[in-house]
Amino acid sequence: MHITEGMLPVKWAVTWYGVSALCVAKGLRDLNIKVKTVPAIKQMLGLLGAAVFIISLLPIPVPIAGTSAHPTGTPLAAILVGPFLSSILATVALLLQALFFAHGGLTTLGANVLSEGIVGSLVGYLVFRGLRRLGAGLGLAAGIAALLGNLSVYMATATELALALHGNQPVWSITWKFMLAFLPAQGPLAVLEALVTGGIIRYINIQRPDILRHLGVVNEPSPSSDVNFRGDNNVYRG
Amino acid sequence: MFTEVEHLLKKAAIVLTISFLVLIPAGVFPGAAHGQKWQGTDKVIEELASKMGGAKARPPLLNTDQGDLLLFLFAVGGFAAGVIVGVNWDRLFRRKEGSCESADVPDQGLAKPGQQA
Repeated sequence: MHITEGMLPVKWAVTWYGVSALCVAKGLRDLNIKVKTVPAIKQMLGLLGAAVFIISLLPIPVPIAGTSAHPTGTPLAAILVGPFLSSILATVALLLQALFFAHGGLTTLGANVLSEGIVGSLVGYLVFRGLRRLGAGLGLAAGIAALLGNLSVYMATATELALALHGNQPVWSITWKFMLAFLPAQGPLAVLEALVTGGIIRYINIQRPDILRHLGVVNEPSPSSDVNFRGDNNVYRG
Repeated sequence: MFTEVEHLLKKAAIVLTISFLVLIPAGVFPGAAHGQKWQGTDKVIEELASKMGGAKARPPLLNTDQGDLLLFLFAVGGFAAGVIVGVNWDRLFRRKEGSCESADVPDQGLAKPGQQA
């Protein structure tokens, strides 16, 4: 979701800019460290940056709702490179969209970065980590993380709008009204994003499990992926 | 527990994927017949916000939503992003001939579990 230029009062626009700036600063610090220590991080960031840009700009028609909506892509990025690096990718994507694609706006950039880049990334990352600790498989954990990450973006956007526009009404009731407007289109897309994200993480685990270990997505090698990676079972015998 | 859930979810994923693939093209025609415009959710929310809170959207700083200009920018942006994804995908996942290593990103020091890269 891109909150359009001019929709937020100055007070809230500045507040969301401040909150987002803190998280993006943490992301820049992480970036400096990871570029020096993690192999393949530059290629992964290039791939994910372009992917987040295009995924969050892709209007997919949802027949049930009769409207078009776009997925977010940030939960996938957060699972692979962490929530704060993911927020940098989202900031770059949202800035380009606001400048050249008439999506979002410069005054609402802070709010859009907070909802899509930070909340979506954090929820996706934490759900993925939590489910992995509970023993969930990679695909399942990534899928549920993407589903909840996607919905959390829209919950955050609804809250941002409600805080700015609730007037005399309770914030929660306005938030709920915005969520009800989002859900018919965004619910099916959240499911679609879950399927795609789960599939991509599983694919990477089969093709290049070492990359997932470099990035800290998985700790232990999975026997099935080693067989697929080398074509035999001798990878870890030293 | 998770194995059973995963098994069920795999089946659900197949059903949902097929449903989506069928529903999206099938939905285009009834949608067109009823005069729906496939308006973006952003626009729907913008109208709702205007009704509820009186917020008024302003045109963007660089208003590219003029004629075919936005279509041109979407095409260029999509192409550029596609190239970047493709090049980096190739660097990460293309393997050297007869080797497990990527041509550009070698499997550095990962011969043993727990070993430092």
